[in-house]
Amino acid sequence: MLTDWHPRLWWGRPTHDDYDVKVRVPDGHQLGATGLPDTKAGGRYRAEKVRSFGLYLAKGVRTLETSSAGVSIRALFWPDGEKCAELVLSTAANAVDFYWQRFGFYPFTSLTIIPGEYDEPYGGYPVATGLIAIHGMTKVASVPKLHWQWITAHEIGHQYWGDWVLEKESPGWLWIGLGIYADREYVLARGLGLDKHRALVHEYLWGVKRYYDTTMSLTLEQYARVNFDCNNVVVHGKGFATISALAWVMGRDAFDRSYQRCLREFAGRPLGPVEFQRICEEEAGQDLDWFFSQWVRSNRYLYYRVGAVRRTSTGAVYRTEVQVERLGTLRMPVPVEARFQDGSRQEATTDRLRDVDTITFTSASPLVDVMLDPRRDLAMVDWVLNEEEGRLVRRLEAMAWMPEAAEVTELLGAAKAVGLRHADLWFKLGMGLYHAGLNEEALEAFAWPLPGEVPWVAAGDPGFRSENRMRILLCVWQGHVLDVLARRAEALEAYRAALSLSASIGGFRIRQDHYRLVIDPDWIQTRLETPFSRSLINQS
Amino acid sequence: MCCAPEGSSFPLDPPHALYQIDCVVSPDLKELQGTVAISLRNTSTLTLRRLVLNSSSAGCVPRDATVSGNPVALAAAQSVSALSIPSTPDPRFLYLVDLAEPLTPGGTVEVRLAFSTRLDGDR
Repeated sequence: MLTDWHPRLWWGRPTHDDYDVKVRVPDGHQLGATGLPDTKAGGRYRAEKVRSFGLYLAKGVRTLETSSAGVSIRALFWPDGEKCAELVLSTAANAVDFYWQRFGFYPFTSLTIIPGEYDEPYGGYPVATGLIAIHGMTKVASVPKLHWQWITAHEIGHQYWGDWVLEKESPGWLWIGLGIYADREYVLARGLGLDKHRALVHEYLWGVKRYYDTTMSLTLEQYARVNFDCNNVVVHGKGFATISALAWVMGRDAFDRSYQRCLREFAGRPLGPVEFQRICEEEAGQDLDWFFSQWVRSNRYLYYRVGAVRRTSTGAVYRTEVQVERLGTLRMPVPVEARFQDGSRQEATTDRLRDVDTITFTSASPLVDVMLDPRRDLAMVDWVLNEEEGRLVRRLEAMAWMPEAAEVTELLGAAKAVGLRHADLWFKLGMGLYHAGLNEEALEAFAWPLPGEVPWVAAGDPGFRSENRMRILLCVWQGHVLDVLARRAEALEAYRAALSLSASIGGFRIRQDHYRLVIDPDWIQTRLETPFSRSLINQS
Repeated sequence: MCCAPEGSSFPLDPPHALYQIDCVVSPDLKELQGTVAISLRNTSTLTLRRLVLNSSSAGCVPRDATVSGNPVALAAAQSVSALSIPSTPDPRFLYLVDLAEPLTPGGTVEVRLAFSTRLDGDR
């Protein structure tokens, strides 16, 4: 796979250029490239107005071809990836047609899909203009069909944002966010569900709860100091969350006009947040600096909740007053939906300038419930952040997995005092205490009551599985330590709770390599018969 | 019309170029060798006195450069990487090409180069 392979003029920023490339490759090798192949001259490709010209060379790959909306589409695949290639090719044709109709054009004449270098379905990336890689195509059945459909539509979306309209700043959250907005349009139109998009937002919300600084406009020096997964949390997660919130604030029509203007006016030119804000303000006819300053240039987070609800009625007229309270640091309007017994619904919007706003609904039927952000356009945190917890999170993240007894004991005290809310950090604490031989304290960490009796993420949410995996681990290790403490009946209870949680997410498997330990349902089942002891695991 | 100061100046709207590349991948897949002809019409309002070439990576070595048929020296912009700026090329891979005649707006130039690119395992 070749992207930066030839000398090129540099203008201080990316540009669009034209290419006429002839490549001779050794016999038996197949070539994938940006641009349309010249059918009369093998190995020759032409492409106009492309950001970069990529080459892909492999031996033993096969090819499937189709076309859609005048775009020639090819999928190169390893022989055992044919099913996946068929799926991504048909999705690509469908997505190109959708985008063509939605945006009025497709920017390039060809699209080639190649197998990514990872053999697991980790996603994909735009290799070069008209050339996208998708990882793990030989493992089509290992993830839901939605994964392949979404990643294909997602990477094609970047042909508009990243290859047609160029990114101006780093980290490049804007082209990512606008690209993801495109593929959200696709999955909504095709009824594929929003699981992937909620997973992206979940990454951002997780980062907020982890007290990471998610400010998107950074100086070079600030960017160099970032020491967390900025790509997932900020660039993808917050990038998309910001665009989603902006689209709601502006309204669909005004946002669409901005989107289309950027596609037209920034073809082959870099688009940055400043230009984007200007266009959005012009199309919305309103100042949006309050939005950009908070979402883009600050670390503020959004958290509103429904407070007091007052119901009165006069004859057949019902009046409901709903208080909406700001608990987060970011101020913006939020949609409030009231649902009534007769099945009717009403929606209103809060005023961003009020920390507590009262919305009044008048209806012909009593209220059933009230919810904020019913379409989930807004990335809303459900915790009030606490700086003391934030400092503790930093320390626990930095703590070694096998710490000194004094350090981990002190951190346990701090975690209890602050009411630490992160399951994985309680687990890390518990493992540190277990390593230090502090069994009673380790049990306290593994059994610490976490927010909500059931996982605090809803069953349909992307975080559900990862949060549950951690809770399973906590249960298993409660069992381990209880066995070590010769409290067998309680240990059995913990193992059974772990098995029950495991069944609820369709099983799990976690390796703890420093103990040469694999925890899965088989391991737990065995513990129901044979108690755990320290001698069962080898510490490397 | 305005003139760029001495040194490397970039127009606000850089001109598009046409890259005509003819290359071959070695039988052992370790190297790609070829030539590139870069045709450029200065569509900007800036007079260009110098072009900057980006060899893109340590594995790509340009040589035998000519500008409109006349041989020119390729001088690396910097010998060490001073600052890592995301999505900006490493200065070690930038080569400065001084134009014998300034390229005024509307003017054309053709830069020809030979190059070889090492195909590492991670490519």
